[in-house]
Amino acid sequence: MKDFVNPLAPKTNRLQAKSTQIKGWVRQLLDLPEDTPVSVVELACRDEGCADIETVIGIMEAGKPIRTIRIHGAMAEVTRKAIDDSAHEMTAGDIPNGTSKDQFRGNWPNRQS
Amino acid sequence: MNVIDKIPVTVLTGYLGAGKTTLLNRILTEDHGKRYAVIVNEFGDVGIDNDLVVDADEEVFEMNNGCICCTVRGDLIRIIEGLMRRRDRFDAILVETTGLADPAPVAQTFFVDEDVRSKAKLDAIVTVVDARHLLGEIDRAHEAQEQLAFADIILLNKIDLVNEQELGAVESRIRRINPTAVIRKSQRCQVPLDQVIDRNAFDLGRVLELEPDFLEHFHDHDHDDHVTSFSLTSDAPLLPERFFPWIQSTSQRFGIDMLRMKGIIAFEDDDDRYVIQGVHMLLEGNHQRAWKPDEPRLTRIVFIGRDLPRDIIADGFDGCAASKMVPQQ
Repeated sequence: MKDFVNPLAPKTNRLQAKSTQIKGWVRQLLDLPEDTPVSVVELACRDEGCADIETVIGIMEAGKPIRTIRIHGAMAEVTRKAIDDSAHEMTAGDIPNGTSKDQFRGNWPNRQS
Repeated sequence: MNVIDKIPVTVLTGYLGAGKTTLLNRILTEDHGKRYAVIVNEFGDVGIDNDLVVDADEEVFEMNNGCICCTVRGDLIRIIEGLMRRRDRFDAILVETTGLADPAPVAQTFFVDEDVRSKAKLDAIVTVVDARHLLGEIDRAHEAQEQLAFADIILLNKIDLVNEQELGAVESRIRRINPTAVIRKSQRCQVPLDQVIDRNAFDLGRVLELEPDFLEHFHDHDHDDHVTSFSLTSDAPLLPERFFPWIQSTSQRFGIDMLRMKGIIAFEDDDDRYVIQGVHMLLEGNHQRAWKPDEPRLTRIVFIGRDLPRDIIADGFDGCAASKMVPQQ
């Protein structure tokens, strides 16, 4: 077998541990039950309007719209702080007057909609 | 959990009235030794009622503002998570899609989401086709063409309603759109179930182990279909440092219209075959096995897509050969 870096190697081999770590951080930060499905995806999409590489986190609670956190950068570089910052960023614009971020946390509207 | 333990998932697609639910009910009621969890779009159509039959709401999760290549099925991720907590109660999962469903988000769910990938693997996309009505539907329904394009296995159903000549015409039209799918023929979906389920037909490496010449018997077709296919070949070995940037940029540039792509690559000074496949912009590739001593080291890639610019793609592909001179900057 020729020795070269295989950029198309199945992702599970490369990113599963990091994905599990990110999901753990998201559940902690948002105080989500362990069985709430959280999806973590690294996207490299050159479609107009898309970032070169970003990590998209989907939070899929039953009966609620999917909530999304976007972090610019590869999945391997995502930190707990980056998730926390993005979470705050995302809620900030939607917080009604007089509502603290902590009160509002866990009740983000879905940015996609 | 290793690869062997992953739960196989069969996706059933097919245009309205093709016979998906008939096939589904056969799979659920016949004694074939496997227990299926089933994700259906119409609860009432399934002739079995238990807690392993789950109603899907076809919730599409657009991870990137409407880009089709970044769209998965949120409901599938959620349902598979839930089913996995009852993992000991079934051996495989069936996903039935609606007659007008786009198969791309379903297929992409099994590529993109890490949790789903770690627990489940796409066994095959099975498309059920009505032999009597396909030719009429296919010209006006892009969904019908795309469901064919995505298929690993096509069940050509209701063949008793057409004569031999009509059947030949239907088959040849299917082949134009999807030259690599396995076609099985049936009346009322009466086909041995082991020909459509548990086939591992999505895994190109596995298919090539069983059928080494899988991608070889292929001819280009000029026609007016919305979805078309073509293959590119090279008997000159390719350079990885040229091929990977090219295929990645090609999938980024044309990925929205690139429904499926499958190929075997012969790299320079590489004793092993490299197998690659893609759905839209999502690509995966790995070494498969050593080239046999008497096997021609031929690269072949089959593209299936919507109006793909063959000339541009072929030109880029030609530049990947090790023998190709690159102009000095």
